Amino acid sequence: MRDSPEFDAFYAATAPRVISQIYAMVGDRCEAEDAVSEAYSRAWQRWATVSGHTDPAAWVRTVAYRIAVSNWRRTWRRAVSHRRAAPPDSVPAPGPDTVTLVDALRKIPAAQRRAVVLHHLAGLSVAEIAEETHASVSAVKARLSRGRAALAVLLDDKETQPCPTTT
Amino acid sequence: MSDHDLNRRLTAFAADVESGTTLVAASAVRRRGDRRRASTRVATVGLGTVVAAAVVATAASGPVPGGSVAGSGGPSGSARPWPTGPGATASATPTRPAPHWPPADLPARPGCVPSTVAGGPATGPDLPAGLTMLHEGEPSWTVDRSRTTPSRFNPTGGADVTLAGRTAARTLTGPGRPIEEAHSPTVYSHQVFLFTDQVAARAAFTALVSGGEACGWINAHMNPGEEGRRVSMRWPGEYTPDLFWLRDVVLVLDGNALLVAESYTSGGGMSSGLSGDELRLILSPLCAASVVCA
Repeated sequence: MRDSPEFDAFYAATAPRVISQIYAMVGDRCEAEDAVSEAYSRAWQRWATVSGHTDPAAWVRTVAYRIAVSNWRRTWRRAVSHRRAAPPDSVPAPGPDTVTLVDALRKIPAAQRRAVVLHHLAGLSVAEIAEETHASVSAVKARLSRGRAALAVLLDDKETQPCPTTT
Repeated sequence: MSDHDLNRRLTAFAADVESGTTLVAASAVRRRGDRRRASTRVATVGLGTVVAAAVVATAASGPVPGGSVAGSGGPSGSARPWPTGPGATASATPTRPAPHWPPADLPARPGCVPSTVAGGPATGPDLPAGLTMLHEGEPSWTVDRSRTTPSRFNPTGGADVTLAGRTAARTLTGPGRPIEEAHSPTVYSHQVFLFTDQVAARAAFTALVSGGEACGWINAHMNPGEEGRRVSMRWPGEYTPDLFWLRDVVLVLDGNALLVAESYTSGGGMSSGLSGDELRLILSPLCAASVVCA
């Protein structure tokens, strides 16, 4: 197909970044990869329209997030993983900082987490987050503020936790 | 922790994730999109055919006072094809192209034995008179209040195991979400069955789950802590090479009630299904009326 090189280049250039963003938002790497793959399929399905967007990656990210948080989708993924004879995929072990950060992100409300990731990882402005998440600017500001405060406590706790003593 | 520190940690996180990411091949991603695009085209042609047929029929019979093409062209409860088990047949409707049913590669399952059931409908608790189910009254959704309506989900194709001890039922059937599922036309069915008691409800629930497992459905408990009373099952058609249809069902046991929520999706995409909130919307009126709630 005529547009496939363009789509393939877009996919290769943006998919790893979108996966990391969705992973940070949902706290599960496999779920994030699955949802992102599905979202890119949908993007290709309507590529003539999506490619004309100012930021096609934002379209993919929005769709991927919706897929990732779908109750049914998550159930289905668990079912498939359960039935697989082998481990799902050979995913390299995350670094300790990644584990700590994902653990902390999981503990804050989903709306705050999404706002924090979009602002601090995707680099979106408050207004852009409001548009992408269908929230008001003031709501986004509140989510960012609360999310940052909660993360500060969670991450500082991890950092200052004393080492267990041996007797 | 400063904004700068949070930025730094998230950037390091992204670098860690991206360095270890192995992407699905772009060609595989495109293939999936192509399949869906082709199915959407089929659906559009199917819809156009039905609308054209309705226009021709209306023109041939003359104008109907108060009637409209749109009003008569939609699928009715009795005309809507719905597979009720292996061997069932479906034809084209305005909301869904004709899927292959049963699929040619339906695997033989030695343990898949048509179910049998002792007993039938019984007298006992009824649904609250004022009960309004999720989507009830919405355009394109049909309501069936018959106590003996068969369960849409009958994985073995045998006797309807939900009929034994059933005292009341309500069945809603409707289309998928117009935008979200436009790429893969979907039909939903939400059925609530009431039984004489919790034992009868559990027997029906268990029989459906075990029948599904024996006949090749993939089974998964929906949420930790809800094992034994909430199950999601899916026909594993997604992995067949000639993917053209998918079926999902959620079974929820709640006291003496059983919810069977099924989706039937044609077009290579999966349905969005029911969210946890929607499940609660269906079951909470029953709970409030003290009909169920174990």
